[in-house]
Amino acid sequence: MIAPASLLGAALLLAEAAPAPSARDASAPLEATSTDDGAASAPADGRVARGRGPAGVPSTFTRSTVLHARIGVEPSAFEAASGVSSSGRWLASATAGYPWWGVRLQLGFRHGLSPLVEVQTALARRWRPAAGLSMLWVNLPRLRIGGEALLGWLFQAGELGRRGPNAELRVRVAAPLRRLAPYIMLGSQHTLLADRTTVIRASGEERSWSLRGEWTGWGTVGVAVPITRRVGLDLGVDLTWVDAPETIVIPGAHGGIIIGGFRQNPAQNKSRGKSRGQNQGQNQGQSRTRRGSHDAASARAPRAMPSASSGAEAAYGGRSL
Amino acid sequence: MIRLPPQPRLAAVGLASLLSLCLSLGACVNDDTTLYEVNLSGTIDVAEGSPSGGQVHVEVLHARSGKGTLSYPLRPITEFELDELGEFEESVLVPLENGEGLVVYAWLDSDGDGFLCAPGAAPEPAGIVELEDFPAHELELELVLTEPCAGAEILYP
Repeated sequence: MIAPASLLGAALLLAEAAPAPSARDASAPLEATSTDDGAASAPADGRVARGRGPAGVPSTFTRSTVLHARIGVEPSAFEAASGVSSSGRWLASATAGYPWWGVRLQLGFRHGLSPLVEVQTALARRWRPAAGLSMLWVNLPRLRIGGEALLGWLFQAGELGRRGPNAELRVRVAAPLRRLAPYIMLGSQHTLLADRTTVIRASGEERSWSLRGEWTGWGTVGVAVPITRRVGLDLGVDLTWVDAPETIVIPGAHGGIIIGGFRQNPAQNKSRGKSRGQNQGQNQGQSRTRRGSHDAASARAPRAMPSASSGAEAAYGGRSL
Repeated sequence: MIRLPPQPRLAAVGLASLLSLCLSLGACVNDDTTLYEVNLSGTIDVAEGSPSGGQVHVEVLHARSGKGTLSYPLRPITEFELDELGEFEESVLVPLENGEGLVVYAWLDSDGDGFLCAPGAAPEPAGIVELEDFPAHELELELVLTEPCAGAEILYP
């Protein structure tokens, strides 16, 4: 088993080596060119200005534009730590370790809600595919608390074979720092197991059913490390108590990769309700921006932030960390 | 009819497929136990000269359980008490998955202490019989308790 200390140490080294993934980096040219009265001159990086024209956003930066620019795109790894994706973004992660492996896909919707599907396995003998919903409860600059509810089905092969409907409730507490997002996840997993008893009598067979439950407690302490804005690592230590209290707690560790992106271009959200011609104009502008580098895509993000300036998206749409 | 936009519709189809796969792969039966009802009847007696008073402790066991090198004899199924020696009739449920064969072991608690031959107590007779006709719903047996202080493991096979 990989020592947890080694995992955390590697995470810290990676975090130091990687470029700072916060949104401020993407908006750095804008901040550098802003003036004292809030206005800004044309940015040194012309890609930003090119992306704005067709969408109708002023090509001359105003104080508002600069403020919006400061609200950038959060690294996907930070969203993975809190378990909730911001509106319009998707997140996929795959983890491997002992004994737990898993893959997870989630989509960000409005109001801090993220539908998700995941498949979890322990040494390929215990499988739990599930679908659920995660929700952000507390959203502070340095603290996020969210909850997840999942419904799935448990399969366990071998002598202790089990199968049945499974439900899990999780609480995630993440503390996004500049380059790392340590998190704690506590889960309570319940499985309903149905048993069948057949009594063969001289007069015939009688069949009856009975139900029993299996409870699995789960605790993970980990850290999400952004490598780029879209890609990150997840390292953690797991404590799971399968079929408690009849069994013992099995410690484990995992490492994983996190990949995220935009489910749809944020500007499309903004354009809803507008005329078709306006949409076409926006899309043309987006396609031009897409040809740019990753930084250009990041710089495009402020255009999505007008929607982030209200409602839940303002609370969790891309706060710079 | 409700028309969903493409992405939620895709998600709904995915979830339905996932659920169908789960149900088809694993169903939902965990412990599938099959119990075979056996009505035991017959007589339990002791050899002449042995004490004949007291309760009779009867144990019903599988003759063999497990497979290969992990096979072992005399897996307990159930036990019951008779008030006295003589004729009896009892119904037991035998789990078919747990083993093969059927064995009945009995001992006479002549001193009433609940223990087979406790230190310092008088010898108590015991005996065992394998019911070759199992599986059958009606089984008769005649068991004579002849061996003093013998456990089932000593008497079988």
